[in-house]
Parts: sequence; structure tokens; C-alpha cells
Amino acid sequence: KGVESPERLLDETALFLHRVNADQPPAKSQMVQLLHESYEALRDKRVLVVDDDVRNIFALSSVLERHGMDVVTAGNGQEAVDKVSNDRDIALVLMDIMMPGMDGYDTMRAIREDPDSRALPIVALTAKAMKGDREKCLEAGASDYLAKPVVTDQLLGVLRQWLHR
Amino acid sequence: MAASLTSDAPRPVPVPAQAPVNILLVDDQPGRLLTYRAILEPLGERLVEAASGEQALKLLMEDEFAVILLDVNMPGMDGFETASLIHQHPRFEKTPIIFVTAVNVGDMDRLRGYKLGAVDYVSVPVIPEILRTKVTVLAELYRKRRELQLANERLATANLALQMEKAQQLQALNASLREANDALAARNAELQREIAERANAEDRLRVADRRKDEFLATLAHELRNPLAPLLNALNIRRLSAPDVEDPLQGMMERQLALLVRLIDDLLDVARITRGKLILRKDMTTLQDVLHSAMETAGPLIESGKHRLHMQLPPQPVAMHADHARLSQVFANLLNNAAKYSDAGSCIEVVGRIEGAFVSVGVRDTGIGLAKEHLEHIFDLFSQADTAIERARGGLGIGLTLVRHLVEMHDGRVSVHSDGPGLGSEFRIDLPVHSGLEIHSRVDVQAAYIAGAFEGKRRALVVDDNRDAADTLAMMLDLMGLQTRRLYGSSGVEDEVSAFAPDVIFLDVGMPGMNGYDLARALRSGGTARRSPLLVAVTGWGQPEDRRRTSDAGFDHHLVKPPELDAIHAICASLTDHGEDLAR
Repeated sequence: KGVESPERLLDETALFLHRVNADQPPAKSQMVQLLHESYEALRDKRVLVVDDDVRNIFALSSVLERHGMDVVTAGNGQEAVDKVSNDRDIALVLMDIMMPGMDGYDTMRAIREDPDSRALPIVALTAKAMKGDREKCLEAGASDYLAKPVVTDQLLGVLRQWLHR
Repeated sequence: MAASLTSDAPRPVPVPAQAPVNILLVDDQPGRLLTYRAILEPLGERLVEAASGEQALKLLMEDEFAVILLDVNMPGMDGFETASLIHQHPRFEKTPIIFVTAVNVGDMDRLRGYKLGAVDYVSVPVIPEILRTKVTVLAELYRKRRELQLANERLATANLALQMEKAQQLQALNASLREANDALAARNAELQREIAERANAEDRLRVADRRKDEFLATLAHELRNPLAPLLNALNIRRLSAPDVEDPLQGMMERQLALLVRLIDDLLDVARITRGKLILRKDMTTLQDVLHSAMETAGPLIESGKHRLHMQLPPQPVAMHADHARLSQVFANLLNNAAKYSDAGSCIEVVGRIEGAFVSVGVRDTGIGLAKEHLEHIFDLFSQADTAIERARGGLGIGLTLVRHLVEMHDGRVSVHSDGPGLGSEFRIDLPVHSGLEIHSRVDVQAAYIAGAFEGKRRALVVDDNRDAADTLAMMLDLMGLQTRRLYGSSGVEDEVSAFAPDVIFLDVGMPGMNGYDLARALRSGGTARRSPLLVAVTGWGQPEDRRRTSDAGFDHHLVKPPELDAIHAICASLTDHGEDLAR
């Protein structure tokens, strides 16, 4: 894995040197520990990214993979429903609302019809942060809601919140 | 949209290092795609086409690519935007992109392209050789990297396996080490226990050994007590009938003398093993020593009808030695020779000067010694262990004494025998004294005449052993003294006042008031007008014992059984003593 930030660099170095984290100065130690917690919450979790725009998929995938996540994708609603019902390892769904044909609301409702998927966290992504969107999304079965364009830190924060156990 | 975009594909798949690599061709114009394919086909790599940036992204999500050939001018998402997206993705940030541009690229655009991570540019019309060369280089680079990655992965796997193997080995080693350690600790504890046990046993042995020595000393001492009256009785018989030749008298005297000698040996050994024997060295000669030894051993040699051949240097051999102890050494050897030889055998004594030493050999033709007995013959209580030899008697201490006494004289003793039945020879080497002051010992045999001190002197005998008291008193009677006897310490002082003895023979070890206390009382009491001579009669004869009696006020010290000579000498001195007083 590459090194993208000072935190990661420190973490990797500490790991490489087999240093005990407790030996480090408190501030650094805390930083590494926090990084570990967030990293551990996301790492190796399988996330389904649903978007009709491959550019969005590619961009989200870039961020998610960078945080150690396992990304699977769907280009439309039906594909997403199929993937969720066939792949029990999917831990979370990132759902674009504005899709041609079967949109995000329909897709979420379809997913929630399956009793096995009732508890699956679905984070809805909508281009317009319009009043009532949030209620509409939650009504359709979304667990949470993010406005486009997606801010990376917000996205990661929401993911951690839902994936942390 | 049938193709699913998945990131599962680029997981490390075992790809042969030389397998074709994927090359992504991105252009909105089918004609150009055809041209690229024509140019790159000969390289033998796998060519994948995309008609737009979006399609390119989709393909990238499905597979790994070594090189991306990317048209800059495309409708919608252009080459720069596509490149920018591609290089943001962690999996493709290092994937080389060659931009293809139809128009002349300005320096600014070129810079923008490089910033986005492009490695190169080609312009249309494409020159086939140049494009082919560039792609070849990049494909090769990718291949190398893939190889390296594979090698790294193999290495990592091997490393992991090795680490696990090592860890297992280490664990096994540790376990066996721990086992060995435990075993060692157990063995150590066992050894420690053994050592403690051994030390304990040694202590017990030492205690037992000391008890044995003490027992021997006590035994010898206690055996002496009953000997005293016996010897006294024999002396009385001889004194009362000096002219009658009684064979029983001679036999009893000889046997008693032997008994005394055996007990003396026992005492000596006990003293030697406790380091309490003290030599009284003086000037003497080998001849004198051997003469005394022959006097002692004579009876046994004669009774065995042995012939004794003695061959000594003609000149007296001077020695600084304890005459009595050295005589005892040779007497022991002569006695042994006589005892262990058949009647009428020959015993040879040969003395030779060898430098600063005189070497004396005592050789017999007797029962001899087996090899295994030779080395132990000088050990305490060691005897050749056969019924025949047992029958000849002895305590097995004579030779121990011999060795100790010789060694105390800075000499050596050795033994040689050709085997059982072939006789034996004991050799004693002793240092010769180079001095000249030699004086021959002359034994003055005092004549004991019955009634020599007729009626003149009074003697009191005190001993709780009635036989001892009676016989000593009878002996003194026969010598002509007036005697009285007491069988205990009570009433002694009254008797002394009433009888006024000239001499008192006091047994030291009596119940109640012992000899020491009695002597002190008599000396300090002043009950007698004149002080009687005090004679201690005791089984203890060491210098220390003598000092004790002397400190208590005794004038003489007689060791049981008291010898006739000594008693006579004391009585004789009494006469002088008395005459002095009379004057």
C-alpha cells in the first residue's frame, strides 16, 4: 500500500519498526490510535456504489479504496437490487438518487422488501440539497443522507458511523 | 450495462511474467483506433479499445492496464479530465498515459498534461515506429514491475513461511530447552540431596569413628583394672616362695604379660588414632633397641622352638628415638614372625646401613601373605582372613602400631611376600643419628628380697577394688611393711591420724570422694604430724594424667597393674625418706 499522508507514514513506520504504540509521545500516539480506529472501521468492508455516472463511481471508488474498502459497483437500480440479494458480504450501500429509469427511491424500496436486507445501511446521495429530500429518502428506506457534491470527510464520517461496531 | 464494475479483478492473480499485458486505447474516432491497433498489433500485447472517457473508466474498474493511449480531444469528458480521474484512483495513480493529440500542442497544454501524470505525447499523424517504441518501453516497464511485484509476493510468502517455520522451530527448541532445564533442575536437586546425604553419612561416620576410638581407650583402661590384683597375686606367690620352681607360676606370668601387652597395644592404638601418643626421644642404639625387643619376644620365639639369626653392623648404630617404642616395633615384628611360622622355623633379622638410614629386615618362612592382603596389612584390625590365621590369635593392631611408630620416627615400613605359604619380610628404614653421644642402656635388675623393709614402715592401701587392695597390701606385707587397707575413701583421714602411715597407695577412681580430692584433703588437712608419701594407683598413664595427680599432691604415679620394681623403688625411697626424717 502506498503512503498518502503523514499519519499513514507514521503508522506504517511504527508498524515496520515493531514499535509499541504506547512508547510514542502522547499526541502522536493518540493520532495513530485514532487513525487506526477509523481505518479499522472501514478496512476490508464491502461497499456497493450505485450510480449511473461512471465518473461518480470512479471518484467514489478512488476514495473508498484508498481507505482499504472493498468496492463493488452497480450502474442502475436493478443491478443494485440483484447484487444486494446475491452478495451477503455487502456491508453498506451508497445510493445515487437521480438515476434514469428505476431511481434511488425505487431501488431502496426494492431492497427493503427483502427481509434479509432490512438492516443493511443505505446512504442516499442526492444532487440537490432540497428541502424534503431528506424525509423522502428516509421514507424510502435510506439509513442516512448525503448531499452532492460529496465532501470526502463527511462521507468517511458517515461510513464510520454505520460500519463501526 | 451488463459489465459490472468490480474491484475484485485486479487482485494478485498468478500471471506468468512474460504473458501479454493490457493496453487501453481511448479515442472517439474508430478510424484512429484502427490505426493504433495496426501499429501496436505486432507487439503481441492485448489491445482493449474504448470510445470515450467514461468507457475507459469502466474498463479500468474491471482490469489492470500497463499503458493507456488517450486521445486528448474527445466530446464530453476530454482526455485531461479522464486522465485526472484515473490518476486520482489509488490503483491507477502510477499507470502511464500517452496523450494523442491532432493539433499542435502548446507548451501550456503540455505542462497541464504532465501535471496530470502523463508520461508522454504523440501527435497525429502518428509515426508508427515512435508510438511502437514508446509503448514497448512502457509495457516492458510494467512487465518488470509486475515481475518484481510477483517476486516480492513470493518472497513475502516464503518469508512468512520461513518465519512460521522458524517460530515453530524456536518453539520446539524452547520446549526442549525447557524440558532439558527441568531435567537439569531435577537432577541438580537430586545431586544436592545426595551431597547432603553423603555429608550426613560422613558426619555419622566421623562420630562413630570417634566413639570407636573413645571406646577402645575406655576398654583398654577398664581391662587393666582386673589385671592389677592378678599380677599382684602372682608377685606375692613369687615373693613368698622364691625358691620353688612352679611351672604354673611361669605359665601364668607369661600369659598375664601377654595380656598386658595386648591391652597396652590397644591403648597405644587408641592414643595414636586420637593423636595423643607422645614420643620420649633420647639417644639410643639400634643394638639396644633390638636387644630389648628380643627380651620381649623371646618367650614366644622360644616356645615355638624357632631359630633366630641376627646380623647387625658391628659398630653401634646411633639413633635419636623413643627406645621403648622402637623396641615395641621390633618386638611386634618378631612376635608376628614367631606366631605365623610353623614350629622350629628360622627367623632372620638383618640390619644394614644405607646412607643416612639403617634398614632392618625381619624375615620368616611362615604362612606369608596373599597379594591382596599386602596393601591392607598395616590397616587397623586387618588380619589375613583365614581360619588358620585366626587360630593364631591377635587383634590386628600390632602392624598398625608398627607403621605409626615408625612413621613418627621419620622412618618407613614395607612388606614383601612371594605369596601364601612362602614367608614374608618386613623392612624398616630408620634415620641414623650422626651424633657421638652414645651410652648403652644398662638394665639394673633390683633384687627384691622378701622382708627387706622389716617392720620399719607403715603403708596404707586404699582401693574400692577389694582384690586390688588385698593383693597390694599382701605384697607390701611380704616386703616387710606394716600395712592396713581400706576399701573406700570414707574414713581415710581417721585412719591416717590413727595409723600414721609413711606411705599411702591411693586408687584414683573411687566412688564418693575420689583420689584427687582425698589427696588434696590430706595435704591441706594437716592431720598428720608428718606428711606421708602419696602414691596414685590408676589405669591412666599419660603425661596429662600424671600432671593431674601431681597437682593434686601425689608424690608418685603408678599405672595399673603396678610393677613390682616400681613398688619396690618407692618403698626403698621411703627408707631414705624415713632416715632423713630420723636425723
